[in-house]
This record gives sequence, C-alpha cells and structure tokens, in this order.
Amino acid sequence: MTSLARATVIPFGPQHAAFLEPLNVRLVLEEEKVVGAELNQGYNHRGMEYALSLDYKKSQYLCERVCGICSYHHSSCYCQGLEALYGVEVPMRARLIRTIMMECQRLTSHLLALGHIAEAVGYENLFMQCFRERELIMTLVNRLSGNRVHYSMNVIGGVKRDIGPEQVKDVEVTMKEVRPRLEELQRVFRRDSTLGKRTHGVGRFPRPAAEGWGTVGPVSRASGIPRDIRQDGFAAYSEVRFTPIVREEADVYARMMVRMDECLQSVDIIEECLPLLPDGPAAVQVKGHPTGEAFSRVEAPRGELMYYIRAKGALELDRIKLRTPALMNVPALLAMLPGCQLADVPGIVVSVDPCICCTDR
Amino acid sequence: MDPLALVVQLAIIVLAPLAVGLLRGVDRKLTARMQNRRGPPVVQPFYDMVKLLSKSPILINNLQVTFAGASLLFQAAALALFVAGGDLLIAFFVSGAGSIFLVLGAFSVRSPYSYLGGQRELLAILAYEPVLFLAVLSLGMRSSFLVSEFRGGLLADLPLVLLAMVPVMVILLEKSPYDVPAAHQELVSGPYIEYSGPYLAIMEGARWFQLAFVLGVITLFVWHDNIMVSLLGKAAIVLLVLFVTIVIDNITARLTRERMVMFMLTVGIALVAVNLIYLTIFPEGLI
Amino acid sequence: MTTEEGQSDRSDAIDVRQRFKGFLDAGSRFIALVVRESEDGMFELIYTFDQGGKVADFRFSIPLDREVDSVADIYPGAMTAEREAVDLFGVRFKGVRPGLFLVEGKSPPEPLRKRQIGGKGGDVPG
Repeated sequence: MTSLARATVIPFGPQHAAFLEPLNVRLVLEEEKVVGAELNQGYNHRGMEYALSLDYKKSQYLCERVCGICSYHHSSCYCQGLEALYGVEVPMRARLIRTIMMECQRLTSHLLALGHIAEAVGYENLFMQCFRERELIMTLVNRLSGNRVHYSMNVIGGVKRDIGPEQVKDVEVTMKEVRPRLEELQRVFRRDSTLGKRTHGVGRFPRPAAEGWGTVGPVSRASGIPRDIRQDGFAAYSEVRFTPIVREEADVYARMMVRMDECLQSVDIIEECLPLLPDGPAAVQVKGHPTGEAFSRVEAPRGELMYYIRAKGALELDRIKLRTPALMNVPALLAMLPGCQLADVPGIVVSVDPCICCTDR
Repeated sequence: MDPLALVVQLAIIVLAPLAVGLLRGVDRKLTARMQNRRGPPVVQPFYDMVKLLSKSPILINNLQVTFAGASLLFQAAALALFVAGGDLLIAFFVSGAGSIFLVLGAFSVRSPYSYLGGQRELLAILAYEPVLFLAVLSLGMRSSFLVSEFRGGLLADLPLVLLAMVPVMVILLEKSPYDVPAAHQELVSGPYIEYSGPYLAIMEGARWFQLAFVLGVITLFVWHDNIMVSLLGKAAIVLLVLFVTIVIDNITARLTRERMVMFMLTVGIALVAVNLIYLTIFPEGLI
Repeated sequence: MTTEEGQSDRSDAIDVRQRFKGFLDAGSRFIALVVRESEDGMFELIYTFDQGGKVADFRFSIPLDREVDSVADIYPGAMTAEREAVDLFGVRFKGVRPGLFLVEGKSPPEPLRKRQIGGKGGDVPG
C-alpha cells in the first residue's frame, strides 16, 4: 500500500468544518497517514498588545476582548498586575468573587472544549449535551454579571459588581443542579466505547515532550506534569483546598478526562468559596498613575496566562505583553500530529483546545 | 402489459425517491429532537434540492458531470428494475455500478479531499456491498429472484439478515459510527466536495434513488395477502430500520475505516451466514 | 513579584544560551520572552521563568541591529516566542525566520515598534 502512496498535502484550516477558528495546519499525507505538519498562524492578529498599552484604564475592559472563552481570566490577570503596581491589597470579598467567576468561566470553557472533542470525532449528540449543560452556567453568569461572555466585572482594585445574598443562593442552587449532570457527562466520557476507541492512545504527547515544548494547563497535566498556577494561590485559591488533576496517559483521552474532572473540581471550588464570602467592600480605590513593572499570572482554562505590565506613570503603558496558554500549546501540535491518521487529526487539534484569539492576539 | 399496472409502476418510480426525501427530513427532525434541538422542517431536503437546482452551475471538468449523471441513471435504473418486478440480483448490480460512478466522480478532480473521500467511499462499498449482496441472495433463494414473483413474509425466516441490513443502512445514510466516506470533520464532504449547485443536486438525487432501492429490498421482508396490511407493514419496517439507525447515530462516535470494513466483513456476513445455516438445518424457519 | 537578575548591556551568543540553560538546569520553566523598546533606543529582552511558583527573569539590552542567539534548539517551546519577537519588533535571532503572524511584504512590518507608529497615544480616538 505504501509503495503506491504518494504524498498529498491537505490544508486543515483556516476554514474547516472541524475547527472553526482561523488556524492553518498544512498536513503532508501518505495515503491517510500524516507524515508532516506545518503550522500557519496569524490570520487573526489584531495587535492587541499595542491597543492595550494606549490607556490602562480602558484596557481593563479591552483585555477581556482578547478572547471570548477566557475573557474573565484576562481581565483578572490584568487587574491583578496593576494592583501589584499600585501595591493595594484587594479585599477578600473581591478575591473570592473573582475566584467564583473564574471557575464559572472555566466550566463554560471546558464544556466547550469537551463538546468540541466529541464533535471532532463525530459524536454530535454528545456535543449537544455538553452545550446543554454549558448553557446552565452561561445563564448563571448572565444573571450574575449581566453578560454571557464579557463579564466586565473587574476593576483595578476589586470587582465593580458585587454578588448579593440572593445571587449567592442562585449560584448554590445552580451548582447543585449542575453537579449530577456533570457526573452523568463524566460517566459518558469515561466509559463510552466508541469515543474511547477514537481517543485512547491517540495523539501521544509524553512527559519529556510536554516539558520541552513548555505546554501548560490541561495539556501538560494530561502528560503527568502536576503544574497548575492555582496552587500558588492567586485570587482566593489560597483559601480553598486544591490539588491539580493529573493523568499519565498523555493522549487525547487524558486531555479530555483532565478537563472533565476539572469541571467537577470547579463546582467543588465554587461551593467552597460561597460560604467564605465576608461582608465588606468589594473594591478599593486606586489613585494616580501606576509606575514600575509587574508579572501577573492566573490559571486560565487552557493553562497559565501571564501578563507583563510596565507602566511609566502616565495613562499609556510602556509595554504590556500577554503570554497566553494557547501560544505554548498550539505549537505542540507539531509534536503530536506526525504519525497519526488523518481521521485523528481533528480530535488531536481540538484536544489542545487551541484558542486562536489568544494565540494571535 | 396492463396499462394500469404500468402507470402504478411509473408512479412508484417517481414517488419512491420523493418518499426517501421526506424520510431524510424525518431523519433530520428526529436526530435534532434527540440532540435537544428544534431541527429543520420535515420538507427541508426538498427546499435544499430546489435551492441547489436554482444555483448557477459550476463545473471543474466535464467528466465530473458525466459520472454524476451516470450515477443518477444507474441508481434510477436499479429502482426501475426493482419496481417493474425485474431480477433482484441485476438491480443490485446496477445499483452497485451507480455507487462506483460516485467514486469515479470523486477521482475525476484534483482535490485531495475528494480523492481521499473517493478512496474511503470505495472502502465503504467494499464493506456494505458483500452484506447487501448476501442479503439479496438469501431473500431470492428463499422466495424468488424476480421481484414480481416474490411472495411471503420472510421476516420470520431471515431475522438476522434484516439485522445485518441495519449497519448497511448506517453506512448508506452516512451515520455514525460508519459515516466514514463523507466524514464532515475529517474530509468535509469527501467525494461530494467538488460538486456544487445542480450537480450536487444530481448526486443527492442519485442517493435518493439508491436509498429507495435498498429500502425497497428491506420492504421485501414483509408480506401480507391484504395489500393495505402489506403496505402498512412495509412502511413500519422501513421506519423501524431508520429509527434504529438514528439511535445508533446518536449514541456513537465515528469509527475508523478499518473498523468499518472489519465489522461488516465479520459481523455483517456472520449474521447472514448464521441465518442461512440455521435455515438449511431447519427449513421450516426459525420461529 | 519582580526579580531583577542583574542586567548586562551586551549580548554574547554564549551568554544568552548559557544563562538560559542555567535556568533550565536549575529546574525553572520558561514562560515567555518579553521584548521592550527602551527609552534610549535599545531592545530590552526579558526571558522569564517560573521558579517554584515565582517569576524569575534575566534581561539584557541590545542595539536594534544586534543579532541574538536562538535558544530554540535547547528548548523548542521558545521557538514561538522568538518568532513572535522577530515579527512584532524585528529583533534578529540567529536562524529564526519571520512570518509567524505576519506576511512579509503584505503586513505592516514590526508593528509594535514605537518609532514606526510615531509615538503612542497620539492617534487614539476619543
């Protein structure tokens, strides 16, 4: 068979049925075996780093627009960085609210990623089921923040939108409703035989490779690296019990299950945070223009997100640099794809959860 | 020949593919309801067809439309043979030739997606045709190869053969786990990718005729002396098979082409074989 | 949060690679390469690392046309970071090709450079 095969080049993206964001993977195929892959990015490069440096006050809203799936993590990371520059202590209440909202967004993001994986291997029904459960969280954050995607809840110094007692109750009730549904989903993802046949052992990315490529988040945790910025206790993560979810299989299945298990962990964290909410202000005022430089990191759904902010005591910033998790995870596809079958390409690509808005900025 | 019978036969040849179109609409609606969606109206396939036909024709080469037309003609001829009471085996081979023209159409353009889709379509044909062939053989051997002389409900005799028809339908309806040739997420539309507008409508029409023929074979399993009861039974069995394939579609992910071929050539053929062996030992039937 | 690892105004090939390696050997994880155009018209390159939950870095300034040694062969994860710096700032890395985000000849070159845009903030609407 191989003697007859000649190399074909197939463009995966920038418009593709399995992956709707503008990423181009140039696949070299022999018959249906992938023998080479090349990444092509930048279809969505908007120069966000330049725009964000124009006005640090407006940027607390603009940075949410970097990405639609981890918007709140972006704004939290940005505000956290500027708070470090101002040297202010953010009230506990604000830190807990940030934690709750970040975990809500992690739920929506992970359920989206899980749905995409299911869809990429042709399991449309499971995709729809993921999105049905996701909708519960989406409407919840809509009730809490007034928005579904860009919450616009953060200001430098805290949160500008407090959570009232009835909203706390709302979160509690929703989490109670979501948990059994997620457990049901987890059961399907863990045990479904056809899904298992398409994910077990596919897209192997062993630990040494994961360390060399510097991948972050669920991609590296699925390769057995117990690394999660939440351990370092930013926002209010120091107040909750947290151990990263790690798997050793290092394949698409592991990346899928890490996300699935993290969904339930998020519910745990949210439920743990709610009773901790103290009374008091949800924000502190900051005065003057900031100076100095800061590195700020949060654990976004796709992994470690870092902002480097250098302020010069004026409205504009000297430099702001975003290191998004997808920027590290997407190139790792070059290590995962060669040797796999064309049929597995969509699943592998989607399993690193590439967010092109984040990668290109 | 009786003119009335001729009119009825012509009517069936025209109406059968339209009924298939309606079935595909029902299929989409049911699938949508199972996935928590509203779904399109039941007549959506006809809207699609009308829209495709109204689009401006764009061709890559003339060979493409030749193969599309040939595919349609052969599938229609297979259905016509079947309805006119002709030989079941000949109808089967004519329909098979129609499928081959689909593959040739895919190979006639220089598109890697189309090419890979064509290769996969060949594998799909390799997977379902033997099972379909054996099913047709067993039906014919049990009763008659001439559809006009076909008598007697064979459901009781050949239940496992009907069961083997389910994965055949899964492949033909392009449903998970064996929607391999046109795999949306892998090959976008596989063999169909370089067809558009009216030519895509021709390919879809060919598919409707093919499905009408295969579903016609499935209706042969049910028979009653009373024509009304007979028709009701035939409709019921078609709907049942369709429903089972939709359920399967919704509880599985897509498997690989190797698994498709392996499954059909082992389990599919084994089902038919077991049924035939049983019938040879107990000629009175299973039940 | 900031760790100043000392500064140097020169960049020898051996220097970057050795220091990068030193960080990796000490068990640090590379996070990002931050490029900044400093007030005196130089590029400041900041290599940031995760050192047991804290951000550590080493940094140096180079003239705009100085070529820097690539560390991508030591650490493939740094490849994207370097290519990004090539595209957005025009920093020259040995053996690193441009074209990660931008298309040569079509995209505006070095879009994050200050002097090219003619001073930040000037063209902000509103």
